[in-house]
Amino acid sequence: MAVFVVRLVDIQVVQASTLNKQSLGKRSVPTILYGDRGSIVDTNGKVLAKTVVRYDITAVPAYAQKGYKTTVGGKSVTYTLSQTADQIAAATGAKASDIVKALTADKKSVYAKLVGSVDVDAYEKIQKLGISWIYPKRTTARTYPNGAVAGNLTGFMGTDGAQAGLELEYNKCLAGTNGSETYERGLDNVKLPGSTVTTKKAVDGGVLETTIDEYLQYQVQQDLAEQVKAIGATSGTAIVMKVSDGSLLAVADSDSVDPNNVDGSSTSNLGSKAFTDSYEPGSTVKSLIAAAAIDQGVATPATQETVPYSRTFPWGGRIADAEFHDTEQLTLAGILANSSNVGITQVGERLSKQTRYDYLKKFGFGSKSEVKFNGESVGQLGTPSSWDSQTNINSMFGQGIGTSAIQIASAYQTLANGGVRMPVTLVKGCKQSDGTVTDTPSAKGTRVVSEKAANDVVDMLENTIPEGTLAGMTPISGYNVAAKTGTAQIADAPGGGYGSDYIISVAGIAPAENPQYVVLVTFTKPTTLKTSFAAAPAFREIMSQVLENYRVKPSTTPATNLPDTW
Amino acid sequence: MVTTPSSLPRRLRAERAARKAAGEGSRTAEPDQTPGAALVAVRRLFAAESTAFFVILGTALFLAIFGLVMVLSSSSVEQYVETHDFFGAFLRQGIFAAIGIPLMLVVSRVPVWAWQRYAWHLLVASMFLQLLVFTPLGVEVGGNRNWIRLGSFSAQPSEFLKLALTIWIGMILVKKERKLGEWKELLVPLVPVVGIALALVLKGGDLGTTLILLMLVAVAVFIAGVKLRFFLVPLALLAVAIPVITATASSRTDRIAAWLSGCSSEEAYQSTCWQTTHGLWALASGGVFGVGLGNSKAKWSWLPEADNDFIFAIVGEELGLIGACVVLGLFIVLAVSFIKVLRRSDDAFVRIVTGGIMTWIIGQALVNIAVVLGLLPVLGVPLPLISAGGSSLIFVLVAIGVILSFLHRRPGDETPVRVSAETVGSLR
Repeated sequence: MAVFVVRLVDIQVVQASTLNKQSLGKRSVPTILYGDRGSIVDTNGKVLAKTVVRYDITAVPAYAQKGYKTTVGGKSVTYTLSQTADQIAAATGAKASDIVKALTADKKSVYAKLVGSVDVDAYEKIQKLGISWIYPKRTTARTYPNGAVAGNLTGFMGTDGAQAGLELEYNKCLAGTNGSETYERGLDNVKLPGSTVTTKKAVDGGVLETTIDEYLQYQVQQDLAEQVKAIGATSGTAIVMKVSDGSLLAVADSDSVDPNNVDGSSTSNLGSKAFTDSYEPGSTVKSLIAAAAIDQGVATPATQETVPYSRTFPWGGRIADAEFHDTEQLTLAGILANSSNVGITQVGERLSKQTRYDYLKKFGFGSKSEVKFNGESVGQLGTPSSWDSQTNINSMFGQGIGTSAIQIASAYQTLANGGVRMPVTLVKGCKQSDGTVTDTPSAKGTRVVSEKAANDVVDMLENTIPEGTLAGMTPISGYNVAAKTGTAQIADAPGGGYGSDYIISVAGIAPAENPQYVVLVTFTKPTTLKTSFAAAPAFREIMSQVLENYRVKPSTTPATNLPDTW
Repeated sequence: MVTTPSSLPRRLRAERAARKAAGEGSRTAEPDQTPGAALVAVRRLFAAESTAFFVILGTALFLAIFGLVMVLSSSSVEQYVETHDFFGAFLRQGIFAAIGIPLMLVVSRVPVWAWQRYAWHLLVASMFLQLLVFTPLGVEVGGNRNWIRLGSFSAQPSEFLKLALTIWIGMILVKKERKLGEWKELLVPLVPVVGIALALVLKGGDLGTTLILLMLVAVAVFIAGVKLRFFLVPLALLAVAIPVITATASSRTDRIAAWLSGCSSEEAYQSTCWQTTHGLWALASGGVFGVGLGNSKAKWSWLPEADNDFIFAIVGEELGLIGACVVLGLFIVLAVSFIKVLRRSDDAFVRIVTGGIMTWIIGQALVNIAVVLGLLPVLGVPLPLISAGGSSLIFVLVAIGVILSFLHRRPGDETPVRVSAETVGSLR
């Protein structure tokens, strides 16, 4: 008896932990707890990208050769291999012949993938069949419910993870962390009640909340695609930005990628050209020079200039306006409305090279926007010392320097926002699964020009549509719209020789008296009409939609209509 | 005074006969006389019994009911897997307990002389049942053809054989009281009968029961006062026979080899050591306080015979070291009570039969627990009173009933099994 008690103590107390470890080794089954990748949503929570559960249907061919047995209505039925393949095919939509092939390729194999990534419906149908040698394996797939809408921004996932766009940039936010748990099983693999121990918690990826309005993005993409086609451009971009906080509501690129079908797009279209491509912005820069001049007190909207068609410089350089005209007596407002190259250089020259450079720099040129989009361009602003005399002149009308479309949109946001530049934002934040929000952007603006200077420029730009370079464009009824066109010659490299191709653009602000939205459209190499007027229909369409979508109150004051001449 | 044990039964019998003749009339009239008579009768049923009677009865009842609970706990999962009914084994065990416990109480009223008178009948009946094992009625369970099945009812006649043989040995040794010194007298009929019984059980392949029977016979013969030298020959025979018998069945040699080698290899774990290893694991997971009733993990199909031969492992797992020690303790209580009966009795029959039954119940319990603890190779004997199994439960209860019948105080018996201490020494 004493022997027994000693032995009991030996087993149950002394050796217990060793024995328990051994037995746990046999009983415990580790399982994966899935932490799935988070969604990317638009500003209203509409899903742009999400993770869905999929199942790979795998099988053990070694056991499959005789088909399988099941009970139908209480009766035992045996299905042959080919009948089974038919059933699997019917459940998953795969080809029965492929399944048979996979099952019979190596009849002794213990693993064969029959159908990849079937959805939950198909998985349940397969499970219902009760085939003993079928092992569905859980996987996930990334889907983009809106297809190409915002595909340029969301980016996409490849087999090795995030490949582009927000998926890549915010991979840390989006990625889920798989956890693990163990449970103990009975000999017949029954999960023992109460035996589950979570060894590592699964953490679902965060939800990336963007500032994009999916509905607007869709409309803008449609309009853009239509106009690119209409004017025979090779590509185009359109940006809608909110004035008050610099958030991007829509960033459209023509032919943007459908992340569900990346192979269907050419590699040049896999990102967002609005961020990644640098171009010579052209006349849209004139507004910024004007704002700098007013801010420095060297000009007012009424500043009187005598503007000839062309100017020749001591170093032999020559500039001219786009169309021939007799020498005109233009105010600064008139110079902007008519987009006079000669006029803006006469005003701009009152500021030093360094001063103009500093203003452009403060407007956001020459550095990446706060979005830091994957592959974003810094543009080519150069430095004052790198500007030769001609570039110094050309830079005032947007030649010889390069910017991204986002930089131009941001500069116009600054003008529209009373001279305060807000950080450009594409992402509101990453809402982690525990409710905390990370990656929130800075909301701190920087003053670039005085409020007066900014407002004066916006007022002046109101002349563009009724009597300036956009005269002839049907006004957006009910709203005062300030706009500036840009027609930039395309150089092989900034400051290099120019060909006959242009990048045309319109940057606009509405309503002018209380700016709320900035719209920028650009088209590369239009063929039907090579002036910036070709961009007008797209601008008009998009701006109208923005004003309508956001129910902007129509203007109650008449357009400012500053005098263009003196 | 020098009293030979053999004189006592005879004297008792004579007294009884006399009392029967004298008291018959008055006793039958008794119950109808007063309204409280029934109460008095019930009280009389138990009131006058000795302490040992109640200790044995109480311990047996507790163990049987405890066994019922443990059978439910250890069998429910596997029962559900097999039949989709958690309570199958439990209900069956409950029914056996419901048969066995009243039977024990009834048997406890049987007069001692009746056991001697009907010893041969019992023996023949049990041998007959044991023979049925080899008819088409017999069923082989786990290599042991030790079962008979009638419809859905199955039983192990060897359990009955244990009881019958014990009583028969008691009877025959008492008869041969004076000739115990002569080996020829001892040889016939003891050796043929025991030999046949052992052969029958062994033929069925049940080594565990055979060992228990051997121990039982040895103890009974020893208590009867047979000279120690007579044990030498059978011991020598056994020393030769056991290895041979063991070697005849590969399942046995494997088990024993595995036990000897200590169950270290993976192959042994998968086959012969499976049960022992999982039994040890079950015990280990119980620790001191146990995982709680019903929380065993070994019972989830891991531990074969969890409700039967290895129920002690489940007790140890669910109720811990404490529960296991309580069970051990209760068997010790039973053993001590049996020894008390043995020592206090001056009736050789009572002593021999009590000794035999004690060897059977306590011996079997110890063997079973030793197996679970890995101290013995797997022998396949159930834990008396606790393990699932109707035949075992019923006949262990009946055997306890037999001992209780020795303790039962009958009207007129002032000292049914009480004798002064010094006579104990003189008996041998």
